Amino acid sequence: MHQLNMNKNTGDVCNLTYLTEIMSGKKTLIKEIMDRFLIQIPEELASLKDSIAQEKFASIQSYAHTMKSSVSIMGITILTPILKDMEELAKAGTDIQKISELNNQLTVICNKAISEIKEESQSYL
Amino acid sequence: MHYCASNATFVLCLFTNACAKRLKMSTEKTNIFIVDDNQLMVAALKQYLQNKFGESIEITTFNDGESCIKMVHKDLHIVILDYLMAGKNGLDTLKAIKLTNPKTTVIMLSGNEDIALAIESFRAGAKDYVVKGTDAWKKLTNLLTDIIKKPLRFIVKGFGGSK
Repeated sequence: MHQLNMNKNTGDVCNLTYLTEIMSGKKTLIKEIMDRFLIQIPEELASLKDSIAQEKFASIQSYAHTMKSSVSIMGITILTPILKDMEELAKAGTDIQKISELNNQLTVICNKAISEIKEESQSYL
Repeated sequence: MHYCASNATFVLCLFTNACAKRLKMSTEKTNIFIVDDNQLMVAALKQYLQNKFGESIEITTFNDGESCIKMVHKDLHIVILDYLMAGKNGLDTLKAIKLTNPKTTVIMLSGNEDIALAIESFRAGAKDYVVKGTDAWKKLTNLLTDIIKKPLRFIVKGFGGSK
């Protein structure tokens, strides 16, 4: 089981330093990416949940792989090892129980990230 | 073409013509395709590159290989291509792009460090294989800067300039 190490100073799971840096601090650009994240992550979580329920390992692998890029943009580094493990387990086509446990952690952290991004995006209006 | 009397002047005129061509080229945009089934990644990369290179580039985005292949044209300069996509994967897309336009520069993007895939990509004509992560953006910037500025360097080198 992965330790849910969040940002020790703030308790946040997101770190927008990287996004701010690559967008040269331009608020309109950052806001656009945040909005895209808020649409895409719930869709990916729902698809992943369906794939796990149906034990579709190829789909699980694909969604876990895609989500690795999505969360890295938002600096959610604690999700990288979880998604990597999910991708590896799905690739091997085994241990749906373990995948399901990892997905529970993923969902909790993503929901926290969504709350943080929603709150943060208010200051980018 | 200008016609000149002496050899020296003729060389100078050739240089002038080359520069004039370059000036014309510099007003033309570099056409770039971004192909990735992760829409967040596509949006972020497009914003990032547009912010870096401004009006000098024209970006078109695709969420799958098939749509990209249909739109490959003779003036397509660069394709930034994700490997793992639903439908046709990046490697097959790369091969199809090269069949239509061998001059197009293709940069392969991948979420995994896979040496075998990198080698296969180079064999199929990819210019580089970039692993997604924090360094990927900087590496892409350097690669694109190099590609976009290449024609001017070629002209200067051809007239005795340094590399």
